[in-house]
Amino acid sequence: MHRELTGDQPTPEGVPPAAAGSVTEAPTMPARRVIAIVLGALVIGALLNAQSLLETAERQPFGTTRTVAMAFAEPLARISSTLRLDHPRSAIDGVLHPQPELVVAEPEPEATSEAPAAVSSPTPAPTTQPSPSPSPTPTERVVTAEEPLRVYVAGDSMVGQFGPAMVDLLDDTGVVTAESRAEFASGLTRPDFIDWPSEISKLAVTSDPEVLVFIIGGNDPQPMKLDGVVYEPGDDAWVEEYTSRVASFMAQLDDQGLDVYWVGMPIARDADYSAKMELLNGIYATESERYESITFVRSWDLFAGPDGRFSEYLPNRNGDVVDMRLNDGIHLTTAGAYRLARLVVAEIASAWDLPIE
Amino acid sequence: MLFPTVQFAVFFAVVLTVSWALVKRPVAWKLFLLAASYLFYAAWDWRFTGLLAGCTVINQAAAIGIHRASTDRRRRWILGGAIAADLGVLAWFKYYGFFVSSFTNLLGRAGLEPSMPLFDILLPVGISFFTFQAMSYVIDVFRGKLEPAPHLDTAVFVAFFPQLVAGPIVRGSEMLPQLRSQPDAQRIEATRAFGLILAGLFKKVVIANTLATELVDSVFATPGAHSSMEILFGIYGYAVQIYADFSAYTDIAIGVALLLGFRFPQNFNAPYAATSLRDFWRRWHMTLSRWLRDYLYISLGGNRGGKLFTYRNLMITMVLGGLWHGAAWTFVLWGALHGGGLAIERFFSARREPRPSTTAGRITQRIVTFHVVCLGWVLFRADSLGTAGEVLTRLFTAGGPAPAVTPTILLLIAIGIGMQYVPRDLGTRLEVALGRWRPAAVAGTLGVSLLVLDALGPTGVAPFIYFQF
Repeated sequence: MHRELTGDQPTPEGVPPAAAGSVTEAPTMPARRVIAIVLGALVIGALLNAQSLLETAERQPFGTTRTVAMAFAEPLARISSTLRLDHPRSAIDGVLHPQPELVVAEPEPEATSEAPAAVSSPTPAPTTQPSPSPSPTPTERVVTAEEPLRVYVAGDSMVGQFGPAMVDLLDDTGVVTAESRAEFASGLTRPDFIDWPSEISKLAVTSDPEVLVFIIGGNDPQPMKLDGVVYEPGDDAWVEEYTSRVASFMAQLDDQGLDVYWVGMPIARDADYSAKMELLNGIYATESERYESITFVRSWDLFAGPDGRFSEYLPNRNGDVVDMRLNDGIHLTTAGAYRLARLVVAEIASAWDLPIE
Repeated sequence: MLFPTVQFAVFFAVVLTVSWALVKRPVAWKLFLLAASYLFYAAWDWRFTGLLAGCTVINQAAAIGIHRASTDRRRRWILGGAIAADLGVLAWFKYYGFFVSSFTNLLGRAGLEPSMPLFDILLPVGISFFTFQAMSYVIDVFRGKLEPAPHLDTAVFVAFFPQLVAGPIVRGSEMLPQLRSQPDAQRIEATRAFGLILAGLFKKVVIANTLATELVDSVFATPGAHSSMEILFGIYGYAVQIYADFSAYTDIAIGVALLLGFRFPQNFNAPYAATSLRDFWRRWHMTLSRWLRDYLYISLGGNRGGKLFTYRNLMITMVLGGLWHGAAWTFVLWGALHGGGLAIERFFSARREPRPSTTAGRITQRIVTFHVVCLGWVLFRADSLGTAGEVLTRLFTAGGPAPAVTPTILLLIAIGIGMQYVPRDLGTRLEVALGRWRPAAVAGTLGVSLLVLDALGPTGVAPFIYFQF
């Protein structure tokens, strides 16, 4: 900056510096060849990455985009596999992301997502594994620094901000070990992508938490495919299926002996989206009432203004008005994440008698 | 539409093919580029295409008005109106919430309770970039450096998709002549473009995304959970991440434009090899630096007054430059740090005879400059002054192990810093070598590179950092 101060030669008008230095050196080629190379490179790249492309396409919400993407990705993956062009990618993935043994040891969960989840009841932890000690209820267990409470925070991208805030506040108590896991774009409508019931059942032999804090829903207003028919979010069949998935997941959580804090989605900027979140929150709240072990934590009003509507700015603990939401009007800023985390931590603290400020 | 996605790859393959097919018919060619650019922008949020169109119309009308105006007074009024409109749009969408919340909090401390409505305003992607680009066009016409361009040319210039959402900030004098005389379909600097795009994808997908997810995000989200050593490498990691992320975007933008036959200005030139802050700003986001220099610093009077006058102008330029990056006090302080640093450098360089520089001296200058820049990045990345303060406090007070500083993190930071010292002609030599290959071999190499990049990066694509500015 301030080139005038340094005596540097100013760039001649009309000739960008990048071009000025490159005119004599950079080799050139005709447009036809450029187009051929670009298209060729994309086809080769697509064939080599066909499996990854197919997975990306499968992950799209059911609808036109996904149908078109699948129409290209499926034959591409077949060609790639016939020509064995998918081998280099598998080899690289094998080196970079070795599959954890746990997954291999477990029985394969039902691969198809089309059967209603209520029928395919969650896979219990294999009996050969050391089964988790049945968690004592909050009142019996004395939490100390030597025997800290094990808390696991999980869910979709909301956990990206909320999870670390939870971990931080719980660490401050000195008597909790907490970890968090955010799976972007996950939920209960698409178990083919992330199957939360299965993921949480695996926890029994890994982190073995006593407390689970769970938040999803943001990605769930998307079509579900049941027996080949696609249902739009809000349809009766959709609501019925979603409710049964929530019910079966909650039954599993109760079976696992977890003390669960199911956090509802906060109000969002977009009114239509908010209405969908309110629908899902209603399902979570109603279903959780059946279980002593599951507390539904309502976050809706925490992020609404005095008029009950979405408010991007809210007063923090010092009374300063601060920005609580990211630009999408859904996710939380750090300030928003701490606002929500304090509410949830207070719930956990009162149940387990934790020391908090 | 993010660059490193299948969606963009398909979009670009179509645009590239059709654009060169139409290039001999200028009107159809420009209309096509315009339509493709609006489609690209609409993929983010179609509602804001009207804003982009409105910005184009107002600035084009002002440019023509200034050109035709009979009196100087009239010209000034039109210029003032156009700038007020551009800044007004920016102020409403970007700064309203910041100003009102700051004002409310200030009065709240004084015991008053003002009731100013805090609207929920969505920030349109790239607004800081296209308003600045449009303003430079009008000011250049006012200064007599540029004639008003035909409507269609101006519309393409403001909305051209490669640079639309995150720069580089191209000037009318650079882009408009290239639109007027269509590009030569026989002479495309394609190997340079391929090099820029691949380097950009590598920096974004492998370096920036991995550093962010593995260390940096966590350090800045919960500094309280990290030891001094983790915080130190979190800061270094962010310095590498923001360079890799932002320079990646402009590298890809420049490469994509080059394939379409347009030459864009360079935007980064090994910024962490800078030996002073002044040097840093000649190497970092160069198109913003020169925008601020030409349209703000010089308009304020530049260094044509006394010493204090110059320091004042440096400070104002950098503070406003900081605010351009985001509506928060952290950005104001970041700008003030750089403005103050530049003023101090100027003060000492005016007093001392320049000494012959030794290798050891240059290395020391580079290390000091890099660390001052890193101090700035803490303010830049932290979401509040409180977080920035906590990061800086814990940097010196939190002992303990650093399990989050993994060999991968160290390697990526080393690559990111090492990149600044790669000789420039190495890239040129590679391009020349690549230019001699058969097209099939080039396509194969690029295809295999896509495989490696996709495999190395974390899953899910994080947006580029500069989109939010």
